[in-house]
Amino acid sequence: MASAANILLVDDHEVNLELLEAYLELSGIPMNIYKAYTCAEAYKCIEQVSLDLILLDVMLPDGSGYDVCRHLKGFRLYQNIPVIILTALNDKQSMLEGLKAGADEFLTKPVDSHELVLRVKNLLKMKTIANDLDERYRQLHNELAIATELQKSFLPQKVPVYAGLDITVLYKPSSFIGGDFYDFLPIDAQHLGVLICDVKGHGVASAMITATIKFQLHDLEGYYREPAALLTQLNKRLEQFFSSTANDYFVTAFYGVLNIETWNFCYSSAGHNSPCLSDWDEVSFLENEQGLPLGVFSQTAYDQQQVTLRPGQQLFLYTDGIFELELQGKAARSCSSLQDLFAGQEGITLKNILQLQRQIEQYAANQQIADDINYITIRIDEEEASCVKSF
Amino acid sequence: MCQVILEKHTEYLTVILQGELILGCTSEVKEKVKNYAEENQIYHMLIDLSQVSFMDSSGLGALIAWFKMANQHQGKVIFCGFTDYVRKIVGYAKLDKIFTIADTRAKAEELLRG
Repeated sequence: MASAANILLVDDHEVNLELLEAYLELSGIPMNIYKAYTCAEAYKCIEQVSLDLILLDVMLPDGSGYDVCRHLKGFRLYQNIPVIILTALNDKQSMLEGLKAGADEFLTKPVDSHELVLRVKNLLKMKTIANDLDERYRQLHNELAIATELQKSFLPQKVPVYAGLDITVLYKPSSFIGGDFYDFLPIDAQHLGVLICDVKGHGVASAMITATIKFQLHDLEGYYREPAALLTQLNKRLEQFFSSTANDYFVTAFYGVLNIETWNFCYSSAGHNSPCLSDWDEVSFLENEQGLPLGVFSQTAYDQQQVTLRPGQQLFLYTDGIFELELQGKAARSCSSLQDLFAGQEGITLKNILQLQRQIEQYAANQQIADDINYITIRIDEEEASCVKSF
Repeated sequence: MCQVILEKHTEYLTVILQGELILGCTSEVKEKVKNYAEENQIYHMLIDLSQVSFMDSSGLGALIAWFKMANQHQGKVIFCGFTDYVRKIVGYAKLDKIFTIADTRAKAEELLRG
């Protein structure tokens, strides 16, 4: 309450209203008093005035006080307004009814002035705390919204376009801010670097860490061609950063460099889920045995491997947020990698991966999600390749 | 929810974790273990995960935090009681390369006493 509390008295008897008003005025609490004789008048006042407390009689000409209370408590906007219901002496049934409707306190009639004032004071104190919390929540909400926008600005604004290459990205952060991050690093006309990583943890801290990664990357341009060297450097810097700030944070990452002419793909992994390589015949995974997550140990050694992609093959890079979804009929959280998801199934091909992508897309479009969802697909055109061959 | 039972032995501390080691309850458990080690000035630890039913990345983060803390104080950490699930999660993050994992609690105790 800024200064005076806004209190609404609801009773169809003028005498009762005047008595309540007199008691409250004597209490010395700074207040503005509003009066309503019917449910309809009460609703009107609730909408027009920012109320701090309501004293509510049960029997009203156009309905019951319980209805008013129930109605009020059903709205996020009004549910923090404390309600005192006035009941007849020892009427247990009315009290139960009132509790069901969400009333905060009861006063039995005839109302004792001391009890009235004490209950009102207590509830107003609680309302002040609730208001304060609401205000902080709103501030936090605003700040999160700003941070979300900021974080979006760290992500690539567009997907790179190369002849013969089809690249798609799906990125959806969980409830506001995510710890997933990806980037395309255009090295030269012939080489494209692709990074995907997952900062373990959620919320503002994770988002700030993704920002740190973005800035560190900017500084490490000389290493873009060498996946193992880039991860080694990134690890050293993040380890230093975490050891002075957030000891239990770590980042899984996968970085690869694609040669756009030879389709050679050189990659390194820091504890990240193995990307999946698939075509119409089979799937395989880009395993990389080495490599702890980034930021755990400054001395971690990373190594790199190479694979030559074939026309028609698709590379699927992802973060583990997708396993918070129910995929392919398997319960959420029952898997932690695509290998797990497809375990025991024969004949998995690109078709299954495309189905999976569609399923993830649908989730991402339709609902609030528990973890960030992020995947990148890089596919080498079949048509383009056949043209090359015919030359 | 998750809980932790802490026991002090002459050479080491036993950390028994129970329930779901997930975001929301992990940070409290993490601090408890850290404070206990600091109070007792003992950084050799046996961490028993046999009663952990689920663990997410914040749980992994806690394991890393304890491991790092112990390392900073020349302490030895032995993990035991890995369920298949925990083994997989730890394996994916390649943490099994740096963690010492004993098959049984008895083996873990032996390693810490030895």
